[in-house]
Amino acid sequence: MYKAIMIGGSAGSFQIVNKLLSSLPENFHLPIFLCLHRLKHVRKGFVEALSIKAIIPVVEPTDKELIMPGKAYLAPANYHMYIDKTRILLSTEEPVHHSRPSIDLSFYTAAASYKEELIGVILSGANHDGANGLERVSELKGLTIVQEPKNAEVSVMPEACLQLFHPDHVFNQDELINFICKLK
Amino acid sequence: MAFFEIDIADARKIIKVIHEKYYFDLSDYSIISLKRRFEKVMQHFNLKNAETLIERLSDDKGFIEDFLSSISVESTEMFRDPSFWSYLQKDFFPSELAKNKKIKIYVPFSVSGDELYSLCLLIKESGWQENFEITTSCISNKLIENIKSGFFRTNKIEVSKENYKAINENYMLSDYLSTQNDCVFRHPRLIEDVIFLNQRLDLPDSLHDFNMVLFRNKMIYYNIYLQEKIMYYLYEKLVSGGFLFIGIKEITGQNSGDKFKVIHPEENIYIKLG
Repeated sequence: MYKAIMIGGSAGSFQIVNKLLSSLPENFHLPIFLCLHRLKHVRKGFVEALSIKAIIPVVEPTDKELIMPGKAYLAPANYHMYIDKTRILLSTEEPVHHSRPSIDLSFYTAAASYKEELIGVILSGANHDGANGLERVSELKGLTIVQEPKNAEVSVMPEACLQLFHPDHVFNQDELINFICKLK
Repeated sequence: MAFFEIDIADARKIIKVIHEKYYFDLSDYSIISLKRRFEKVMQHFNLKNAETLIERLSDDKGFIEDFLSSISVESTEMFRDPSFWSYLQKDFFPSELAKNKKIKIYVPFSVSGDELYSLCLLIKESGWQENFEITTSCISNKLIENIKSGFFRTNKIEVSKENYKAINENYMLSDYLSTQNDCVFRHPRLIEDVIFLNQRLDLPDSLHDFNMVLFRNKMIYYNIYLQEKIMYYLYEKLVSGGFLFIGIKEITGQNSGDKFKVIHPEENIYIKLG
């Protein structure tokens, strides 16, 4: 039923993403797009850290890279990451909400590509980036999940989503990981 | 809604009008980015929908210069990826200068001039001005004027300063900046020897015999078809054994294996084969 998962997060999201990637079943078949705020000048280390325990391959895509099932794609430092049906596109356009990568832009493009076949997830974070994007996923009938604010290390980003619209699920860390791992 | 939006069908209509009216073909640019650029133009010029933009493009011939400048994506900052610039200054250029006394570099399709100013500043600091000949092209005269003025967006200054300092602790970018009427300008004398051309990708030119081409984070705005075409274009500009610098997340296209070979995978530096 679902064809892809888009996850956005900022401060406090690394740990839960790491735990999710290390908990996935070996035959996990969906592509996972990760748009996580990061230091723009630090090119190395992030994808390597996520890869240590991850069950599926985690890569920073090159521009126009073909999307493969069962692979996680981390938005590279200082680039926006757009999703265009079969490929990933990168961009150096202006930051949005002072962020490049912008979670909103990644969500807008993934929502337009996958519509009701997309699962959008917003995790812990310290600004509002991602709230409008996840709302778009909801408008285009995708499934929306927000990390429970009191379960998030930094609650600003999940709270911004909840102020904007009603997501399909508000999960704590374990519920979220359990839900994604059981996807068929 | 975070910003004004049009749909893909509207974007295609705008592309069609520009092609028919001004013979400028945007059809092989990445549609997702282009749609966003059109939305930016509409916001900037207070055009409420795609029809209004199309009317303006059709009725106001002077508007195309502003339009082309506005849809062109600027570089993010000066000295983006400091490790790349550091490698050029400390290893690559000295080694190439030992082989060639004169190095010709082409910087195609400049928008904000950030890469151009970075290159010229590095060359000046190293005392190599006599050894380099630099040519750049822009798709409009408005962009050329803007670059020549030295105009520098204030939101790029701090990050550019940090980048420059990462290359060499003793370097101060502020030595090359001045303020006039609340605007910041880079010293235009840094680029006084640069050859400027108003040039379009879809029109023939006589440029050739360059030792190096600096073309970072430009191809990401083209579709795969145009990327292949531009690779051939850049290949033709270089001397045999010349070098191509592209963005660290870009590739030289699907079918360019026989044209270029990577010599520095981390900074994405390629050598022309044949």
